[in-house]
Amino acid sequence: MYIETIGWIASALLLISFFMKKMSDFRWYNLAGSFIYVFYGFLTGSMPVIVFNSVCTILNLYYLYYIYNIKDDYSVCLVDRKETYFRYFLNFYKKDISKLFPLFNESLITEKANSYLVMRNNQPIGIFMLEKESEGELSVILDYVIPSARNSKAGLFIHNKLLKELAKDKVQVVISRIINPIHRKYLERIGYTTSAVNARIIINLR
Amino acid sequence: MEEHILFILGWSASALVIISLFMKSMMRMRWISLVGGIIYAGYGLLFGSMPLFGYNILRAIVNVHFLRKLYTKRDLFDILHVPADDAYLLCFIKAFLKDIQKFKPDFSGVIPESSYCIFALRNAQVVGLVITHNGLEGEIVVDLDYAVPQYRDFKSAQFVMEKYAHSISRMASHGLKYFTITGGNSEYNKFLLRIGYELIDGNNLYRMSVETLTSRYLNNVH
Repeated sequence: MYIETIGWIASALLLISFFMKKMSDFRWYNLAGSFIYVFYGFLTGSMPVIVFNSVCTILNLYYLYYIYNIKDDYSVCLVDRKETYFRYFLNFYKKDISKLFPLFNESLITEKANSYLVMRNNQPIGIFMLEKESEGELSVILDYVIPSARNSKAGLFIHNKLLKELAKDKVQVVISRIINPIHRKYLERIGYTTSAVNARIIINLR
Repeated sequence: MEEHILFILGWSASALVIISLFMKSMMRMRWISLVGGIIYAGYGLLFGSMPLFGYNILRAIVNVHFLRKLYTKRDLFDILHVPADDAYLLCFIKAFLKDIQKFKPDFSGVIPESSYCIFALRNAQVVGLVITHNGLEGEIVVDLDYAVPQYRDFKSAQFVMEKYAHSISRMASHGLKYFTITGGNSEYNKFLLRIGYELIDGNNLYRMSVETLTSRYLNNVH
């Protein structure tokens, strides 16, 4: 009976893996499932199950190595707010942007705003927009990454490299126009300490 | 007898699912994996393993679900005219200049103001770039026809040409007769011939008439 239980556990892990959105999660669950299935194959005496799941285990290990060792190249492209491609990109992801940043609207893209296309391997994956406030504050207007590229690497690039470079010697950056709890949680997850005062999120850059 | 059937089912199912993992096309991967999974379920049933049977039935359902999604969700291909001084265009050219010069060594990366620049887009990602300018009367000179490495295949080119033909057909009424393009390396020249250009002289010059473009690509536009 305990043999069957092992088989069901392996099956459950494999099935869960198919619903993972992140490639690395998919591989980890799939690795665990196929590894346990190898044992199940031994216990039930099925050669095809042993061989098949051993091959899957090895393939999963290979892909995991690949995922963790691939180096993506992140960069930015400073664009003008009226430019054709920038507008196309903004319009293409309009629905998703308004879902994540309900307070964002086009009237916030003023002449004073600096807009950057965030690029991964030379393809645009997001928009970062900010503006200098009067008392030496930076205000983030938009901090958007497209769903397929939304991972901690993209976030860390935008915040640790781009934002710190733009903020230079300032230790605080303020997000007031697009304040929302989802974005704040995300900022905290990638390592910032934040505080919300008077409908503003303050990022401490340290 | 039953042992033989078990043998055939178990190994063929294993082989199919493993083969499916090496498919580059998502669609083909799902189909092969679906067939492999169903055979595996049969193996599990005959072998008397409920987990193996149950898992493979559920996985077949998951595969059908993903296949349905693949067939209903289409990528959005589009073309976009951008001015020669568009900041992202300049970023794009800077990033891919080395790759462009591999097959077109005379391309400097500087775009004259009078050029027409057209991005080919797949889900808002730039997969190709065409730069042209007006030549002699009725002639459009193609200065660059570039596709990023992942989309350097005939099917993508066809998609872009169809979109392009659609907007060109309107220009034909303004006296446009043909396109001229200078060849590059041999691989690139072969590609030009394949998409409909003809070599017109020994100076590596290729030409396609508007009629050729529209008859080859226009009927397919929905």
